[in-house]
Amino acid sequence: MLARIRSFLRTLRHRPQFDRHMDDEMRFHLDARAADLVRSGLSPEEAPRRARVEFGAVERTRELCREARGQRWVDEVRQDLRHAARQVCRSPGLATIAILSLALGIGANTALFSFVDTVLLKPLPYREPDRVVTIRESIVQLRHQYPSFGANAAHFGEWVREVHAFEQLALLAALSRNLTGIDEPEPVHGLHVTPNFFALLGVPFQHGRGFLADEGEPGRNAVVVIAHSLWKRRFGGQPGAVGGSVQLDGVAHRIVGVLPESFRLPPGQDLTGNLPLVARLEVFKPMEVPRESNWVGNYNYGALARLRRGASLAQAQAEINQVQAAITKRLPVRFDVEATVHPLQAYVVREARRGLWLLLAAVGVVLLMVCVNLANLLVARAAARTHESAIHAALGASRSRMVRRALTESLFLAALGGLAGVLLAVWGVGLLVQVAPPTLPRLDEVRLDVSVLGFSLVLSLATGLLCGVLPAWHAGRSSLQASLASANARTTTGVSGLRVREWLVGAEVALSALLLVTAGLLTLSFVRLMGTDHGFNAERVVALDLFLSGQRFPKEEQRTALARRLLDHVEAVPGVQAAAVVNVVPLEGDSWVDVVTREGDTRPVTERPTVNYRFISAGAFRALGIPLRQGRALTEADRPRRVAVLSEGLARSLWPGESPIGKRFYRGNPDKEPFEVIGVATDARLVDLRKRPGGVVYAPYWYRTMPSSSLVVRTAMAPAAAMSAIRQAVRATDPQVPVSRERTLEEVVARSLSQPRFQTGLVFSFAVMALLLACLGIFGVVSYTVARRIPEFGVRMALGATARDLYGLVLRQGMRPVLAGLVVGVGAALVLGRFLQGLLHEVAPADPGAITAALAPLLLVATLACWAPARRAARINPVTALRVE
Amino acid sequence: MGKNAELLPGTLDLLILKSVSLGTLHGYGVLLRIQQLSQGALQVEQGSLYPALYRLEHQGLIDAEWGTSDNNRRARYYRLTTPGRKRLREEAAGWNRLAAAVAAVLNATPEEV
Repeated sequence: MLARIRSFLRTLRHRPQFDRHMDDEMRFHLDARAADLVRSGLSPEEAPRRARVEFGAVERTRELCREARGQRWVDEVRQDLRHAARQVCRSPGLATIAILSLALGIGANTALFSFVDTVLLKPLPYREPDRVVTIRESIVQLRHQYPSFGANAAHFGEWVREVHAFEQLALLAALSRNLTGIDEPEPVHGLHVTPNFFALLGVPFQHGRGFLADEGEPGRNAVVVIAHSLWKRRFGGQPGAVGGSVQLDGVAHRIVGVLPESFRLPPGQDLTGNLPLVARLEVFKPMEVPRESNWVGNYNYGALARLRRGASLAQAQAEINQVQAAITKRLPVRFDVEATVHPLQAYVVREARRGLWLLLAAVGVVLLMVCVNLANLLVARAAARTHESAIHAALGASRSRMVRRALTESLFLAALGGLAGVLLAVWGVGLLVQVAPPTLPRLDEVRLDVSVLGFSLVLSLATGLLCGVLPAWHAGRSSLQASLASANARTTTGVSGLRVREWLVGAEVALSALLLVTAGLLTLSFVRLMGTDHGFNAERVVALDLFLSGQRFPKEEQRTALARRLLDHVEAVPGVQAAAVVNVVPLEGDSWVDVVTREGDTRPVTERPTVNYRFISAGAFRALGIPLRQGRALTEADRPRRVAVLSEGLARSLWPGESPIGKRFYRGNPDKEPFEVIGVATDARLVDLRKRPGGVVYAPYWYRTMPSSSLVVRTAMAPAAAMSAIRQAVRATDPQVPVSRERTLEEVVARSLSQPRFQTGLVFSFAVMALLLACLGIFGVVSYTVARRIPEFGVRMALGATARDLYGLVLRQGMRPVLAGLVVGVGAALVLGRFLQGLLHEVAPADPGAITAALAPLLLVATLACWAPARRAARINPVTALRVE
Repeated sequence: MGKNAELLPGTLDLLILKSVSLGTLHGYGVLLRIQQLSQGALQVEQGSLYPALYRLEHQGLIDAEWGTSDNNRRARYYRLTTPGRKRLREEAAGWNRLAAAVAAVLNATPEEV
């Protein structure tokens, strides 16, 4: 086998030489034979001739020799390639359409695959990333509202002791500090981690190191590891920064390590609670596992683990289930606490996954349609060339040879299209990254890489084969006599290939219908989502984050006092209509999640409602535009009482049928001072636009002012001017308080819609592409049919058919495969609709309105595509028609 | 001696291998040697000689080199390779077995049945 390959390669390399050598060899043979013949008595003139006769057909021998060397195959391939190139030059129009549509199909697929590959498939950049897992807890009784939490520190302690399938576990908590000791204090975010964190992930430090085991202890933990981005930004990328110091909230910390640039962590909110959305994690401080006494609440930690070699995920899950069961028994309340072990990568991509696969499927459908269209074109051309193929066959081309030739042609086109496609993909990837929602994980890592190019290559080959198989089969099967005769035929449908092409059109229409229905459903869903009444008014509202560090303001009262002073200054800014301090801006996450206990509620804690507490100042309802239904909002005059406003849904569920004003409730267990309800606000979707509004308690900021709070300001000014004025007002109040993340509320709303917008936009574009392709396909087939049937139409007209009749004939026949395809397409869409369910918002997958609206353009376009050639048919002059050959 | 034997397909390869095993030869030489060894009974069809030689070379059973013939002309000389030697042994053994079997059948007398 090896010898054959070697010989083959040698042949390839020295081809012209070998031909010469072969000639030399045979000449030698003939001369030697001639010499022998002379020796045996023949005349010197006769001998060479006799030798040649004895030898036989030299050319045939040469052919056989070449074949024996495997050379013939090479020759044939070269011939086929030359032929394919000639075809391209001969009909540049067809070739251009083919290459462009292939480029579009392959390019779009490659770009999207590149995207999907990085976001979903590429392994995380850790040592043996498939063994890194995250552990999320959940409480069965609360799952409908809060599907999962982070980890509880006491439970974590049990896992460390009891779960042997884990080699290591690390605990994480949110870290937010001010970088001080510099001119402009900057808030930075990061994580408190147990010292084994970096070792668990397997991070290769180029500068410095991770944490030592004892650095978690108090007294030893004034050390940090910083991210590459922070290192570049604040320390100029100097290696000397390691060992240097940095001030966090006024406390000096020693920098022991700098993370490599390639280090990536999943988004902060996937790791632990209490981090602002889309925060960059730049600072890491070691901590001990706290001696937690609260076994029930506080799931604010994150937990990562590494599976032991040889242990499986299932084992870890089983062991942890046992531990959780034991914990559940020990709890003083009836909460069933469970924990799920997720491979970290799968957890990070959990939300993006479905949408991205949908996109890949959609763009795959477009590619399929391109192939079908191309096959259509090529079959048409093959049918037109049956005459030529018949002659080839008559001259001795074997069937396999003709099939090979047709395949080579399509592969050639596909290769060219693939090349153009790669170029398109490079551009496309850049475009996708720009329009993609920033919440997609690992967006910054997306680029075109080798595996994607390989994918593109395979795709081009597959496309070429797919497009080519039909025309190739067609080329091989032409019957000699029929084809030679049919060149002059005046009949209609014995035309080879027409049936095939009609099937292809049907397939195209089906695929197109499928995509259109999907796009229609997604679009309707998105429109409904955008039109959802969020319950608050986002127009002309500006938000900024404040950081009132625990270092400078260790007591609640100090923070509250500062907030009060800030509000006074901000409200004085001209153009400001209302200003308020809130703990979390709408649509930026759940916070502060806790139980509401109505006065006199004796239900176990599992049955009491769990809601979001928002700590607000008096102007919040005006600033956010949330109207009140009953009672009144908070005012400064209510200080320092514990008053609260409830959302109407919550009020109704706590005191059905009664007015909640004046009633009392407790936060959590009824062991502290209760709150008094003074008002009821309309329901607002403060967490997720797609979910029904949950219960909200609006508690006063003098009850709690979080270190990380936000200012929301309703202003008549333009946003940029407003933000700068507000920043100045804050600085005037206290120059040491950093202001960050200035944004308008409209931007926040748009960002929360960015994922569905992205998906819908892309699927819509693909559907439009599919529509165009279907239109091209239908038009192509119908005009071809009409052209071939001109003689027949001439006969019909001569026999009395009117233009109307011909119109009808062409339209009916043209629309037949279209209607069939439509039915199949809609059927498929209904069946596959189940998979869409998770992506749709208040739209059923079988929504008749959406389906009809989606299919209407298809029908319209199809009819138009049939109409133009039909018109041509109707205008035929019977005399000229009958003369056409 | 006398009658020409018909060359069964596939035996040409065997004969070529054997001829070449007895000494390096060029194509024409192989032809002559086969004739000579079979005492004229086997006439190789010249048109099929070179394809067979090239095929065997492609399979790595014989090796070819350019050399000079006795009358100072350039000719391509073939010799047997180690795999070729092995193949020759196997094929020859197979052929002999076949021949013996056929002979046994042909020599059967009515009594032995």
